[in-house]
Amino acid sequence: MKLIFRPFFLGLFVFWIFFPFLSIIIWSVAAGWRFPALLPEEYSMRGYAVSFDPNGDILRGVITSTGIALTVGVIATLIGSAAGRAIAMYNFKMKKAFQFLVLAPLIVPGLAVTMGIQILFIKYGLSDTVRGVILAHLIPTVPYVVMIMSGTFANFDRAYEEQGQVLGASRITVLRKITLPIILPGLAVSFLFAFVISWSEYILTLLVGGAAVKTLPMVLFAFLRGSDLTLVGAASIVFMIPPLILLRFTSKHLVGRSSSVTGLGSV
Amino acid sequence: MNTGIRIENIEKSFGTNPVLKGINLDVPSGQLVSILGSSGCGKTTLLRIVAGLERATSGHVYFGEELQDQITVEKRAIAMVFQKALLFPSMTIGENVAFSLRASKNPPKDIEKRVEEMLELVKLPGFASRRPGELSGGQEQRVSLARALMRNPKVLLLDEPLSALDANLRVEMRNFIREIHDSFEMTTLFVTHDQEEAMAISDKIAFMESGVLEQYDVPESFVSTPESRKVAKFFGCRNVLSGKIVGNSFETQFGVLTLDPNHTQGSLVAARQEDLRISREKTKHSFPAKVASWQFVGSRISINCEVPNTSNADSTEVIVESDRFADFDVNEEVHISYDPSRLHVISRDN
Repeated sequence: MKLIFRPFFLGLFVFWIFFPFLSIIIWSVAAGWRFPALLPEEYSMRGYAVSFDPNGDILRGVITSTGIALTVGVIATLIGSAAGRAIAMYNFKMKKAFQFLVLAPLIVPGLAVTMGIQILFIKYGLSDTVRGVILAHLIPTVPYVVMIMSGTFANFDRAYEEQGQVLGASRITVLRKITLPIILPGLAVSFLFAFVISWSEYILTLLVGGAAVKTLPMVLFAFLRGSDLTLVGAASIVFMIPPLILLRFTSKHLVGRSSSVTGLGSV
Repeated sequence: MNTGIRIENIEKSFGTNPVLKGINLDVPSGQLVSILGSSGCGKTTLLRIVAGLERATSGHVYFGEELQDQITVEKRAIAMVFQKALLFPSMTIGENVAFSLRASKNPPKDIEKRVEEMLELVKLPGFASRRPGELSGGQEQRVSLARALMRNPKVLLLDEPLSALDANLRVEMRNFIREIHDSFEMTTLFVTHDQEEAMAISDKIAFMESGVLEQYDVPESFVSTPESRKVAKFFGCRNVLSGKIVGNSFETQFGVLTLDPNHTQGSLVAARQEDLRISREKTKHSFPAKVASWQFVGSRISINCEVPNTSNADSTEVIVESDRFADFDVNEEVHISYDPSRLHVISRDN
């Protein structure tokens, strides 16, 4: 029984996940695909040609988005790790309030927050700049990193650091040689989350970056409104590639026994 | 080289809770001293202050003549082994042992050779390329010791390094620690809650209780000449009798005991159960008693006796330990004899 049904359900699962992609993939190479036809009548690579045009909006969007998402990933991971460590390993005054404030952006709609900070951003000249967008992207990313890293640090035995110190290692050496290797899975997953959230962020980018900062989602939405589905299909495929590459390198930390990324619910 | 440790009037409070109440301890260069006490007595806190992991509220720590108070952990000439082996999981055994060498400013060139020598010393030759998870508890703790020794410390601090191991291994390892101590020129502080462990390997024992150093002496003294009731009890003396010294004798509730002429002053007398004899005949120094119960303690027999009081209708319980051939019935009338030179007057009643 089991042997028969397992491949069946696995197949169903794979179909369920990948079927929506099928139409995108087909659209990306279709030249014309009208209603009753099961498959496009004509094929073309026009979508990809436009997507990879060195002067085109899509490739520029990919570069802008990659730059922003990488920076957000690094900064969010740094800030979130420090906060996660504080929450998991130390006791301090107003800890509960601090935890709530850190995680509040997950509950309060990002739009509401952005409407408020937009005025400040204009005042400090951050509006319509890449810096401003990076700053705004930290709002939805940092809470996830804090959640992941507080779980990681809750499983981290502080005694390892003391052991390093009593063997003559400086704080920097202890961090580099002892702590970092142990918390690496958490850092990798945090970076992945922050990157993916920043990568697909639309509303915040629109409000803070205006028309000046054209990340890939901005470009994609513009194309969607133009209803050129071939182009949207190709651009969507391009859109999926960087997160998939990142996932390839971090997935081993997401699952498996070696993972220290447990206790996500500890916050 | 003077590698002694001097602990001067160390006090430590966590919040308003005093953990160490003025500890003075002088550990002579090259000795192995155990800090012994039950959990929560402050022994680990004291060790952490010596290591620099914890800051004392007041007081000073010296290594030799060098004041340590302002010196950070990593700059102190120490190495410490904890209860858990704490082998760094991302490194091989060899890399773990080499850790202090690689972390130093001028790493020597012959690291691999030195690591192998050190692993041979802790009887784990050829283990350099293995990973921490592949070792048994005892092996891991030996690697941890090797890693500490690699630093060539003046002062070796051991924080209950054996308590996570099983009984047989503990005995083997404690002897091994003594051997290692003797083959290096260093002073060792060994924190433990196990009095047998402390007795077996220490030059001196510092016995702590509730943040106070109760007695600091050679191991034998804790059995023969305990300074307080707590020490006597902790070291297994089951008969601590109260009374009054009159001349050369000690007046208890159940009669008068003869003391050694050189006795000290105090209101308690420790009579170790294995120093008392039980017999059917009176002797020169004996008192009558009745057997209340008995049980096997290891290979010996512990006999609970009731000694009728002379001042009231109650009786005093006296415990005698005898070899396993003792054959007395419950309620049998017996005599307990003692050697006056083995009765010890306790000076402090706490």
